[in-house]
Amino acid sequence: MTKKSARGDDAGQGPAFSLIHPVDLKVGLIVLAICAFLFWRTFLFDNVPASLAQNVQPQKLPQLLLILIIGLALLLPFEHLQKRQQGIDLDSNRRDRPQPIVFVTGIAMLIVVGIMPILGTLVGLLLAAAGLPLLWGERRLKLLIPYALLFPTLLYLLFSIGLQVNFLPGVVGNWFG
Amino acid sequence: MNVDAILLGLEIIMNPVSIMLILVSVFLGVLIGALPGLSSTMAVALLLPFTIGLDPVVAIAMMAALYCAGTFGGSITAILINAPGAPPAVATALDGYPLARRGEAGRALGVAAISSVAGGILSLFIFIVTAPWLAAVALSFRPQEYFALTLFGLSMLAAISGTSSLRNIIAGLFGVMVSMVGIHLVTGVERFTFGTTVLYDGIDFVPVLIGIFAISEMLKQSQAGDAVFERIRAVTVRLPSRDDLRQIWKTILRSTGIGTIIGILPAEGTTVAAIMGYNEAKRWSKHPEEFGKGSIEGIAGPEAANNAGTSGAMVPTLALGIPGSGTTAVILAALTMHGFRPGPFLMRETPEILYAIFFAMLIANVAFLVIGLLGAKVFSLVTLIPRTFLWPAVFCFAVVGAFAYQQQMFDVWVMLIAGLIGYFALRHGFGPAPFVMGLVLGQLIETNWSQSMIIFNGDWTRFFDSAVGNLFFALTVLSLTSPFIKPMVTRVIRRFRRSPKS
Repeated sequence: MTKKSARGDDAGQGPAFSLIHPVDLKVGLIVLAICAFLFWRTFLFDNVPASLAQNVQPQKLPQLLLILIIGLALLLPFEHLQKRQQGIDLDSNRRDRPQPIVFVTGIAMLIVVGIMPILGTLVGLLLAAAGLPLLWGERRLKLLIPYALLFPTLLYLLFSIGLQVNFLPGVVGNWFG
Repeated sequence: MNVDAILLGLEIIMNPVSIMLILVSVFLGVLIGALPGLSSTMAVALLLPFTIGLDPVVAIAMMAALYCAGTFGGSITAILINAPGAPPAVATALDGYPLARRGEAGRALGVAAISSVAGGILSLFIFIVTAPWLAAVALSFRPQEYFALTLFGLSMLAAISGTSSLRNIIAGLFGVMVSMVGIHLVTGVERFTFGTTVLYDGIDFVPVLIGIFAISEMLKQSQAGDAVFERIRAVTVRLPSRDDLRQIWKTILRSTGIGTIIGILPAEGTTVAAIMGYNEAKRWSKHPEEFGKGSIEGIAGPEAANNAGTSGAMVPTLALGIPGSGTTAVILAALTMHGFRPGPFLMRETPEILYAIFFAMLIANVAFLVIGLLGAKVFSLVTLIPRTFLWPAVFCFAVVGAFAYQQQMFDVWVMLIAGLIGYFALRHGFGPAPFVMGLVLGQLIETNWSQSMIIFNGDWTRFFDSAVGNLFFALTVLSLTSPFIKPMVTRVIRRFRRSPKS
């Protein structure tokens, strides 16, 4: 019995009898939506008199590029037909859904960066160095604790003393500012 | 030949501090190159903020040295544990690992090192001759010709390795779009700033580069699991014997030429050079049946080509301001960050940088021969670092590096968002290298387009008045359509070959 992918197709095979690739249709629609939004934004640029603009209105090139991207994005759902003939599997990297750890890691990174202005850069780095390994399943505390304390501290010292960077002080203050 | 510039370049490099910094870069390059998942592109992007306080020429020289060394570093793990540390080393693993399994790991490493050094040094001399000549030719280009040239450079994105040329071009065009955020240089109008002052100066490429290469790879690695590699334990490194050299010298020369030419082509990089070097080595070999089973020509070919490609890629980067590869796109960004004006004016205003980079890469090539051979076994042990410690360390470096650049949290957020978007984009085939190329080339494209439109009084048809410009437009059309036309032409040729037989 062949393994089913997250999309319900047999692994190693795309949607065999479909002209339009369902995943690329969504990707194409997302690209089109972004382009449509940006194209609308170009109409909100300030108007410049022709004499000042010197034939280079600020929206011209962005609009040209967006039209080009839109045209190319319309081909995305059909690209799989050409690639199948060449023996290329467009779904090789995305057949399986990202595991929850990817989203958890992303959220953790957002939290660390989000609290840095409050807690300070050093505390943020310490949290990252301790928290991310734990999230990824690291349980060897004898290695983790020295790593989480030493590595961010040395990095902090290298930049603040060596490169004279003023980090966010946060709750602990700026030791080397 | 500008003797003053040569001597000035030599003086900048040949002092204890500069040499030490270059050797540190070489060490880091070999180390990072050896680690699967970490690329020299990522390393150069992470190194960028560290170089802010350094002499600009030394900073660029360090990055060039790291680039060379990283390309070689990947071959160590390719040979010893069949896990290429860098994409260009994939071809080296095909014959390097089988040779190592036969008990000849030392010979494989020796051949890889010598081929790499030979390819790197020979192509450096081509670089030192070609770059000034190309820059002198480009100085005569008018804005419309430069626009056509940069368009051609962008069109070469279609041929960057990856599954889809279409997605490469879309990613590249989005890169160009991101470069347009901020104040329009001609009219002073705000574009895509969404009413915020932080975007007035645009989105800086340094945090984007760090996010795209480091953060998105980290997210990918979060679900990777710890890989178990079968290691070759007994390694006595030795340089190739006279018989070995007799067998591989032609391959080295041929692959050096291939690698240099591929490197010079905009957007083509060392991975393409390595694969072509391997394929041509097999094609010209007297014993092609040995390839894949431990042929030293199968090691010499890709190694000479990929390192020759690093010097080749520096040619358009310095002479034209058009990146020859993903890593040189980062180096180009570094040149801009340090106040240089990449392109033909760089050769005219600061010619010593060309020679400083030449000497730095020369030192790097010799240094990684020594460092790489002596420390090969140690470098391969670096893959034992658990990913649970390695990647959080990369994240800390990325955060600190992005912040240190302009000492503002906005850059850290840009880095993070670029990384998150980059991860999902990569899953769907939109690679980071094309986006970075577009980001770096975007301003150049718009500047030349704007200057041309001002000169032409808005008449766009005058873009086609120049023969040189038309040549680049034609090459652009060719490179954009070749991924679609080439399969059709191949099918027609195959049908034609079959029909006389039937």
